[in-house]
Amino acid sequence: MDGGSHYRERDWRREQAHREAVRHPVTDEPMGLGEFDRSLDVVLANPQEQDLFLNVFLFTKDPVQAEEIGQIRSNDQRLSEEQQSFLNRSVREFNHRRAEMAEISRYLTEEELGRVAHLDERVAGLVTNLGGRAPAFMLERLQQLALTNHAQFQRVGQALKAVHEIRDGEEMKRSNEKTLRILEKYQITEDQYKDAVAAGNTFETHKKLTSLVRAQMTGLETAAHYATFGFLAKFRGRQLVKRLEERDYMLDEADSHLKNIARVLHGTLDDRTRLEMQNLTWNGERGPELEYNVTTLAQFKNARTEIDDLFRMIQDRFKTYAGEEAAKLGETTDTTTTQPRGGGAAKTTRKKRRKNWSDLTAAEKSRIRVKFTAEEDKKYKSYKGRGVMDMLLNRTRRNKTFGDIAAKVASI
Amino acid sequence: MKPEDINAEIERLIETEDEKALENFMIDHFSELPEEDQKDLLFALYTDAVERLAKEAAIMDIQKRGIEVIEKVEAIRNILKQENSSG
Repeated sequence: MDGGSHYRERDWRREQAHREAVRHPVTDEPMGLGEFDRSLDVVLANPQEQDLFLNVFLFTKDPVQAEEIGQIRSNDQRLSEEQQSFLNRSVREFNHRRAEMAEISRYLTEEELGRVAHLDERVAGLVTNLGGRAPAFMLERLQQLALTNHAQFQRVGQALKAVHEIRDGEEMKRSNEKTLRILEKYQITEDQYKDAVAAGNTFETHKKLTSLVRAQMTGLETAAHYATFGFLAKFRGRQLVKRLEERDYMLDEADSHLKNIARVLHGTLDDRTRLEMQNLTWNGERGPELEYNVTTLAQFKNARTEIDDLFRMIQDRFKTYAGEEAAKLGETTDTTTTQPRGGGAAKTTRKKRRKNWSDLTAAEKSRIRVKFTAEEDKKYKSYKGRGVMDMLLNRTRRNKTFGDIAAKVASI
Repeated sequence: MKPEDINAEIERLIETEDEKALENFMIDHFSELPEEDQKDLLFALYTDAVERLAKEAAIMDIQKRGIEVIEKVEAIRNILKQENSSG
């Protein structure tokens, strides 16, 4: 099998697997690509899509390959089979992200934004201020997230869907009140079950509270199963439970389940336990939250100083980096020819040494520049904050983009 | 406020490390911020709010399910108690 057919067969297999793996970002149901089932040529023919694909998606995926492909394309040269295969593979992923984005955009209408604004006063101020422009602003940023951080994008998508199902802000308050009423109605008071419930508050460590909540949630599932299938199976099997002791045993069993549910419901009304439940149910299903390393203004000030210092010293660090990378590319031989003073044949000496920057070809230099730029870019993006911290970090990085870094090292 | 005054005030609030005051200032002067900042701030606060609300919705689901199960178990207890009282 020649190299080309190997790549084509592998690509075909991957394409099939990819089509089967495309799932809705929110419902996890199998999902078609619809209008986004496009070939590479179709994507590249649309200037806006081409920009998103080549300059955003591909650069995030593999900046070194993306840069090389960009240069080859701009010189009208031919891509290698491997590069073509990388592009074909990437365009399928890109189509998938674009299709997901189209699904999620349903949750970012003006009406939807207005509903969330009604539930959060900070958002209310901004959405009112922006009016009809708010959905476009949100879509633009969400699109960036879809193409650069898929896990976080899916998490946001699922949150948008969950919130879409909340009718109004009073609903949560009413749910808490109803829970309390039910516990009282069936005399499942906190006093009655205080030992069990208090256990959640006396555990000092987070780990123990987490495992207690996990056990409580399992208890709820067991009780639900008992109430739906377990009891009926026993009860119907004997038509009526004849023996008194058997009925007493079953009453004890029901009481035990009631206690388990009571623990869970009381837990939903206790701040610490409630938080654990959220972590278990929400984060548990959707993977861990982003780790934020900039959560205070003091941390932001430090991060900003570090980012500014990194950028200021970039050329010095690149010179060191370039020297090290050049040395990794092997050895070269210096040839010196000397003419003896008394005449005679010239003497040639050859000395091997590690390569340095000036020994490299333009292509090798370009590859090192791009690799360095990508590593630098990653350093700046390693600072993560939420809310205002996120916005301040983005402000700090705005004049230190991939392009800005590349421009700084281009002349060396 | 002029853009330079906005930036100066943001810097002052960063220096004082008063996060709430900074957030309030940005919200109050939102329309005077550069468009890129507006996009970032809207997206950051919106996604923050949505995730918080989604977590609350998860608790509502637990409560709803818990209440349904309590009602079923109570019905079971009533059947068993009636059986006991009728002999």
